[in-house]
Amino acid sequence: MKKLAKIKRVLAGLFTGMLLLMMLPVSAQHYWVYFTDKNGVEFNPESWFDAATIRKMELRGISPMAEMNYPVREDYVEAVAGYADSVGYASRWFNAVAVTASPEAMQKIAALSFVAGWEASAATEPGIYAETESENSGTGYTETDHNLVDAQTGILGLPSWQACGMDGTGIRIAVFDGGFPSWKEHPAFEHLRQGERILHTWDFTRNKENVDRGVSHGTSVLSCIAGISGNRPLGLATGASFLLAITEVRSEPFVEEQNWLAAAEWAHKHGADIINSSLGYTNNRYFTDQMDGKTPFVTRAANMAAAQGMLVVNAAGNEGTGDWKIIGAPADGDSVLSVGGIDPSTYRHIDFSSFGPTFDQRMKPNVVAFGTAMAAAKNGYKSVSGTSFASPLMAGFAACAWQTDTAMSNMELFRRIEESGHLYPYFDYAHGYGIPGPATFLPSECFQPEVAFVWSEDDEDDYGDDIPIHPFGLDMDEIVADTVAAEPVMLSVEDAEEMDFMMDSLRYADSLAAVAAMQFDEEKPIEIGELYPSDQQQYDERRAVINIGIDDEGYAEISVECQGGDVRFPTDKYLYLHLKNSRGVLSRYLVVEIPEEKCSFSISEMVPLPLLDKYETLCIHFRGVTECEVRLDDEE
Amino acid sequence: MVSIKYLPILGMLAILPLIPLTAQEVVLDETVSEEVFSRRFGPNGQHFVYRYFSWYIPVSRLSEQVVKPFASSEVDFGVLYKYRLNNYLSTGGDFRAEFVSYRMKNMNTLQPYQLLPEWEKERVTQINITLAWFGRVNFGKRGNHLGKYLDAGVFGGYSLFNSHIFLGEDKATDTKVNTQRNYLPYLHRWAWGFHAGFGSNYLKISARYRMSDYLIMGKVNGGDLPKLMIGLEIGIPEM
Repeated sequence: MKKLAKIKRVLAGLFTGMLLLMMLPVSAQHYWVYFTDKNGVEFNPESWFDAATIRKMELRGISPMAEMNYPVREDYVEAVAGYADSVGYASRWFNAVAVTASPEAMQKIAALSFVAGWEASAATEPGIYAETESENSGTGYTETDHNLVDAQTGILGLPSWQACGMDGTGIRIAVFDGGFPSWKEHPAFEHLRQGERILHTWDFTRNKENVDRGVSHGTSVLSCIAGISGNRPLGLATGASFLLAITEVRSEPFVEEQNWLAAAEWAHKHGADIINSSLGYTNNRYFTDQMDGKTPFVTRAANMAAAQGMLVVNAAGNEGTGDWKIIGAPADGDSVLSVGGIDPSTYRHIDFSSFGPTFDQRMKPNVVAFGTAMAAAKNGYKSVSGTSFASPLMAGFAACAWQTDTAMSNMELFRRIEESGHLYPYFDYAHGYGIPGPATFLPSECFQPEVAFVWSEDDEDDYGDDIPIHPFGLDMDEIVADTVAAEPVMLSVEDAEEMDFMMDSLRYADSLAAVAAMQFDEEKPIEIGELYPSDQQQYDERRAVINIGIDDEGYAEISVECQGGDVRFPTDKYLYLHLKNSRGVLSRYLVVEIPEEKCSFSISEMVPLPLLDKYETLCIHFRGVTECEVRLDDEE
Repeated sequence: MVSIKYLPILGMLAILPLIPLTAQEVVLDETVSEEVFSRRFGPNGQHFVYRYFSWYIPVSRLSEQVVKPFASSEVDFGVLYKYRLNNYLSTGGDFRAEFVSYRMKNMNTLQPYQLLPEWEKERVTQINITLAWFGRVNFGKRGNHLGKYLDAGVFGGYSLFNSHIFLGEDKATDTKVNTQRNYLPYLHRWAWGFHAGFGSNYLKISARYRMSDYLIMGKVNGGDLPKLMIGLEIGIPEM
């Protein structure tokens, strides 16, 4: 009996507890409440935007008087506040206000005549994308660090941008992150401080101006846009101006959703051209089937920012090796330039970079940049990994590109960045359209391809004491007169032998190490550099011939033959292949590394391809050449 | 001297390093699968399985303590299966191995073992296998992760192995004495009880109350072993 009584007591306790527990989900929650109109609200754009911003908007055909810019009606907000536990940010763009309220209170709010609708929101963990960070390098760089710095900007065309005077001057970039400690003292930002080009700062988590706090992720991201270490730029837009916003906080995760939107509206008010957001929201808040470009609130906010004329550049995410695998929010937005990561040592997809497509089968990421970079740390510099750092490298590129034609709209810039990708028109869901380059943005007189000069051991026998230095990878007959010297530079054997190690390194180099100018003669220095993948757009010649045959049963026979010289770009050794359906959606994509000496081959020998379905298309990209073939019906 | 019949093989082996390795290498091969968008499996999917380990300590009133609470513990290794009913409710079960060790507070309170007049340490250990059922309530809208939740349910288990260990010193001969009695006739093999816990993702604070007795009263001195255990469960995210 005693035992039975004890059981009853325990069960009663559990049952009561469960009832209490079930009531917990119905306590106060977070919502967005949308209003029907902004009738009667007055708005003066000249008091909201600065003069430079209004000029820019008019240049791009954007009306500063758009209703989206009008404030939310205060009487509506006050009425909602009468029922809610608390009221948060009031969004002009969405004509909505964030509230915390019980479900019972929400029923009353929803019944108000001026409430158009509402949606529940939820807590989310902070979504800062940073994979790994090395030990602080302090102020000293190793040779490897130097090489990485030069390559992370060189691959995006820094020498060409600089040659044309493009550094993002006149472009305003808003950076959303979790903190920017030491931006006021770090030497990497001395040029920004001296030029007073940190225009505005705001900590949305504390409603204060100071952003010199928080996680150093933002400091590193900012340096990948505009930092300078010694005389080496860490990013491309060293001439741009900046708006810094702290939007991430760990203690109140729901607020981050509000903060991103509030920061975007604040950035728009202050004339931001570009938003860099190295942030993302995945499984803590969403499911993969919600990555459709319209379900996540932050994605809708990012799309709204794009509708306001800003280019939103977002990291693709670091979920490539995890269960999530694909891009997060807001990288799924169709108006968001999602940036994936490539490995600096291989120039192809870095394993952690998130893949596409979106749930609605749109291509993502859009483009790629280095997923490992040198960046400013809270003190000194360090190597960092993550698509967090590919995104700001691309934001700097976008700033330089926009500087060439500020009348361009954001979406025209978006399209041209994609078209400048080294794979374009080929794409896949790991690289997008590939590594963008400056060639399509710069006039020809500004573009300066650099070629490596090498010395052939065979030449020593022919020329005796004098060795000709000729361009690496180019046949002498194909040299374009206005880009490189048509005549080889003569070099004495004695000098050549001293440089033997350097020459051998250049001959077989497939990485983008910066090399010093070598002076055979103080009056005639010879600069030695290497070609970057995007530079190949300068060359009109087809460097490969690809033949694709698909028989009636769907078997593909592919043969490839190289033309135009040896391997020139680090990506020349890769053959890209994809299969896509009639709607342009990929079913499979591969990257195959081809040995340098093998320049005539058949793909079916090495890669077992699946049978193509009818109307399925096979595309191959190799050395700048894309060929596609579709399997048609027998009768067609 | 190498036999001539091995020369062809040795010759081939000698040549091998000279053959250039020029094979193409597939460095990326991705098949786009709809499975990545499926909600069938995952922390907030229809089905989810993960491993965990946990650590518990016994809790009892000071006046009723028969074991030393912090010298006694239970370590478990288990597998949990969760079935999602909706965003707020789920159910499931777990199967675990329990490694229990109780350090007795006062010697010979269970059953006297008169090899020595006095013992220094006395311990009861068990290896159990247990099945448990739980109902779970989650808080708030969330994505594909476990979130914050409250669990409650019942468990039942069986003691595969148990022992009663005595440690002491025979002062007469100045020797350490260690005796162990296994498969104790005064300990119930079957057990059942209730459990409840509060968790956030893979961390859960949990309590268990054993409804059945540990010891067969009448065959031991003193009271039963503690029935209430409180502890921490840590899940291992990938299965």
